[in-house]
Amino acid sequence: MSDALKLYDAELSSRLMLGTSLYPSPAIMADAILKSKAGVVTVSLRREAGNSRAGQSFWSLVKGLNTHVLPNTAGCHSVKEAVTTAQMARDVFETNWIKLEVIGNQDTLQPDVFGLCEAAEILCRDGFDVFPYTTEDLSVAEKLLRCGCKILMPWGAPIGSGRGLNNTFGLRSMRAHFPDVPLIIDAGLGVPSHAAAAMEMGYDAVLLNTAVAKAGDPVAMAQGFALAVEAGRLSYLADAMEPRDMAFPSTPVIGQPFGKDSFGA
Amino acid sequence: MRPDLKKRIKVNGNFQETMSDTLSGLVIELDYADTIIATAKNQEFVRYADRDSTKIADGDEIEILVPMQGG
Repeated sequence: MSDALKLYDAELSSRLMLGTSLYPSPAIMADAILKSKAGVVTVSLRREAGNSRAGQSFWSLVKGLNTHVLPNTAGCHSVKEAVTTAQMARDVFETNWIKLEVIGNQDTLQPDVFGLCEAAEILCRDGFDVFPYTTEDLSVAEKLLRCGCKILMPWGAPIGSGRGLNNTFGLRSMRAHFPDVPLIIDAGLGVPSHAAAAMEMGYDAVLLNTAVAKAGDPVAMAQGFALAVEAGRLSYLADAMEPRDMAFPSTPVIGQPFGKDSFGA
Repeated sequence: MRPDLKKRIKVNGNFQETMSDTLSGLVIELDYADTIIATAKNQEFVRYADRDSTKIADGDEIEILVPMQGG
């Protein structure tokens, strides 16, 4: 059975999306991406320090990984900054995909959802395939879809916090409310079980960076996340049992020895 | 360098003087001609094809960005 994930014009076999920041070295980053078979990697545009040409070697390395590239607008705090950064990213990375971040608070890095919707509308009209980093707020989600977004990326927890799924009720509501929209948990995951929980809820994919890059062994952690994503997805597709409050024996009670029908009963 | 031809601009937040009249000239002057970059002038995106026709004037703020790690 094919279980490919369709994101705009692409079909992906992996539901793990990885960031490329914060790794101990470029080689470890590349190894983590390759060994986890991540379907998408995120990248950014930045000013280059001095004449290092580090950007060119980074880009050559990423291109060699043969995976989909999702540029971001990380660090943008205004609609204007985000739109201009997206346009610049399209010029460099030659893709219409953009992970749209408009940051609203420096402590929590939570999205400015008003600016996000405004920027999403401009970019969708300009032909971008927008991946909006948003919250689990349903009215914001509705607005983003009306603007032309075909994917939503609610946060699990603040970026880089590793806290997992902070608002499972809200995330479940979002999944139930938009059954046909690809939903990706973006940000806040810390360990593979967080990813498995998101996938068991029916989320279509997870996007993370810090949890892998800052692990003691990023390559092993990337593989751990890949397995968790697969396990969670299989669990969701398999239609898990309903939990019960009381015990129910799994071993047959018929034929049990020393029961009430024995001489001693 | 003739003082009347010099322009004082900002590149990536740093003040700089340039003799270049166009953005493509500035890119060459800064040794970015053979590298993959994206450009903006005064917070407006300038596509690769438009760098030749984009004039540089005193007080302009230029951004030259390169691919980098991102989350």
